[in-house]
Amino acid sequence: MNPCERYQQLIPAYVDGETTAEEKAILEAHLKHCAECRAVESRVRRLRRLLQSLPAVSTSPEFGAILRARIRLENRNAGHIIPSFPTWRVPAFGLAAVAAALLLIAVIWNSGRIPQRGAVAVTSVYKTAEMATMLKAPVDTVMRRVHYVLDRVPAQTLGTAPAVVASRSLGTRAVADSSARSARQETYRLVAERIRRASF
Amino acid sequence: MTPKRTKELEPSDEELIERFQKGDREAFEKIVERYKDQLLNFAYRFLGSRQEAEDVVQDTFLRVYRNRKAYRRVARFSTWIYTIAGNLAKTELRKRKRRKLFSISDLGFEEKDYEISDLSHNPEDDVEGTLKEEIIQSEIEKLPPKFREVIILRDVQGLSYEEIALILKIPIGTVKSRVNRARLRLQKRLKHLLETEK
Repeated sequence: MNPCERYQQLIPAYVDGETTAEEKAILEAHLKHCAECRAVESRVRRLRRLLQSLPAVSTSPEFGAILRARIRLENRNAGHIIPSFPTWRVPAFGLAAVAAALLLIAVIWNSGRIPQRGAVAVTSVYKTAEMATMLKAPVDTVMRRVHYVLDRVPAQTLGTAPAVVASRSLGTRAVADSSARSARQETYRLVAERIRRASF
Repeated sequence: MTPKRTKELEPSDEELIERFQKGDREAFEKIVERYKDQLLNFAYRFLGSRQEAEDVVQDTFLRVYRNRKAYRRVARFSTWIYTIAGNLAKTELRKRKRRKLFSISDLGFEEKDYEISDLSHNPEDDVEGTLKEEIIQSEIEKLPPKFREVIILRDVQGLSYEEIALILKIPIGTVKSRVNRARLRLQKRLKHLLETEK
């Protein structure tokens, strides 16, 4: 067994300033004449610097507005029980349609025009085929684009989170799920369902 | 009855949450302002996806809002909020595994991990720096979650062993050993980067 192992186990805590005074004194005395342990200490310090050098990220500009919208929604729906919906699959055409419809919705939102109740869904379904042909892109790419736009819709313009507006404009009750992700998925589901039933 | 105010100090987190418990919405806004970016960094380094990380941070604040009455001053507020964020991040990881399990390829509207970082990137960023960051990030993500969370809290967020122990509800000794093991693994994996690091 390496006689230095005992010391080396102390090194990470030492580098973090988390050893007791006694441990610190013992280790420092050892480090003075042990090159191998000094090398270990140096590696730990370098790793720590490397991790500390990772650039910091910041929340998106809409973060606060979306949060406020979700809180408003939560307050409004306090006490309501939200039914869970069964998951179901959209046929291939349905997917493209959903993607295109959402893209259109997103574009309308992004241009700052607040859609009339029901108008978004109706417009989008009429435009679906056109959009799909126009985009000529795999569903995946289209979806990314949709996400990108949806995630950047200025919530202040909307007064509430995008998914909520979508579900309202579809004439259904507001999505009261706590997670933004399920809110988005709920929107896709709602749009997809309306397209599937084609009951506009 | 005038508040003791010898110096113009920023209110502590604990003061803010107490004000919020009494109905002061502005205090909540201040908490969000104070914590959103540090929680995002934690969640982003843990999950590797900006989008998922932002969802986690949103949900964290929503929980704080919803459960504000559950906070008791016996614990530090930062410990409380980090515990919430950490649990949500771990749940997100499990959800991601489940999503992968039920193949997502034929469910086109299922969420996918897509990177948006390139869209918000400064074009003047040096490629080398970005590459280095990507390498480090991918090695962090390869760590088992229990090692990953301690190393991020310690080396990226700079929290003390004691704080980490409180957040994760594990003994300090366990924090120490996880930090050691995570670092040993990263040292091995990032050997080439460490050699050039002064």
